[in-house]
Amino acid sequence: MRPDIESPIGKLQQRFVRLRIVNMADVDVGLFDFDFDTTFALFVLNSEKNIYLRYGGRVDSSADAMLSSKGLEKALERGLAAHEKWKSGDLELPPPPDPRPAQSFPNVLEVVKKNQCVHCHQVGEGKAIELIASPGFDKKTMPWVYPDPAKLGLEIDPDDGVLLAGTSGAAAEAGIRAGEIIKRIGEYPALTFADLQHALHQLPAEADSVTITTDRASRQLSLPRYWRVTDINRRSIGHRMTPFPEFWGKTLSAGEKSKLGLDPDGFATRVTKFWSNTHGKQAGMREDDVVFAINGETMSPLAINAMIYIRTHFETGDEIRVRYRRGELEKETSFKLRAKPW
Amino acid sequence: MIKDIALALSFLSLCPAGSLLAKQEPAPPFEPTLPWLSDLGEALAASKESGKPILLEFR
Repeated sequence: MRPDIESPIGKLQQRFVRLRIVNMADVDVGLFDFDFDTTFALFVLNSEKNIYLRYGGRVDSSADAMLSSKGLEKALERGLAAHEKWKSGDLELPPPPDPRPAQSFPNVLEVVKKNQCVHCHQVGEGKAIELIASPGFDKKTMPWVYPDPAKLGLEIDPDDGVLLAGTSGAAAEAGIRAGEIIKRIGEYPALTFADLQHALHQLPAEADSVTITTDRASRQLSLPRYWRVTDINRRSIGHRMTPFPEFWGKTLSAGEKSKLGLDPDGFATRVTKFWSNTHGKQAGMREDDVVFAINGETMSPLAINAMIYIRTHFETGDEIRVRYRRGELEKETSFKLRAKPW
Repeated sequence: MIKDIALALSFLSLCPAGSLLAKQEPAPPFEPTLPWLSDLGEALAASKESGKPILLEFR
């Protein structure tokens, strides 16, 4: 499956200076700022460190749903075209961001001191720790990172990255239609899906609208409530927010919930692990139990599952009432939440 | 889509997902791959000298 140097991607690669960084220890993560919860990330830039585009990104349905060889080819071609424009002085670039050494995050510095390799996700953890510790951190509005354009009704073709395969919701209301090509989000130019996500990620928390510029027109799009919310269950911020839910579990699909007679939009979660004698286990919960209500609530627009519901709605020291199914039986128990399981 | 993803990831050589999918097929014949630099300063200098843009991969 590995494309050789004569394949389309191989041929495109040859037109670049190729740089692979596997240790984040000395990286300026202010400049090379990306979704650190992703499998990988690509940048195309010039010798003056002007970034033309990013490639990568993830959405809730899958970590690699927006990756494709065709999409990658197009990104590389667009990077080459941007470089030619830059060389001819015909490319407007946003001002460079403030530098931020990766080692300025204490957890990253700890890894460096141990003489170990710093992974991307460890930078993500550093950012999460910093955000959670920031004054006025609001766990209901601030943990959401790298929003999914689909939440705005922008359905992106993964084989292109900025071509709209369809629109709905806020995008459709703004008059944006399938077939249009997104050129810019707010002040940020976009050549790829990762660029779109990065631009949305930069929008201030209080923003209630954004200008979307396509090949046809610029339109103001009203940002719907909860538009930033994504599944943070597998993200650094989701792991770092306290309290610990006292169990680990698997999010049930809408079909699985319906089969059990539960609200398909609810946060029902099948318990998969305790790892240690957590308060949940001490209170009688067992693997395979299906948690479907906490303090009488069964759903929240902020939570895809019960663990995230607990992390976003409670504090360390709170006592919660959990209702769950065990086979045909319905049970209820209560326990106190701690910051960490051990 | 899966094949596409495997291609995209195997382009990035050692990515586990690419390797995993590649294992489901007979071993391919040896195919030469391109060299990659590992130092940003070197890449910036090489870009300045060659006039080529830089393709930077983090993994």
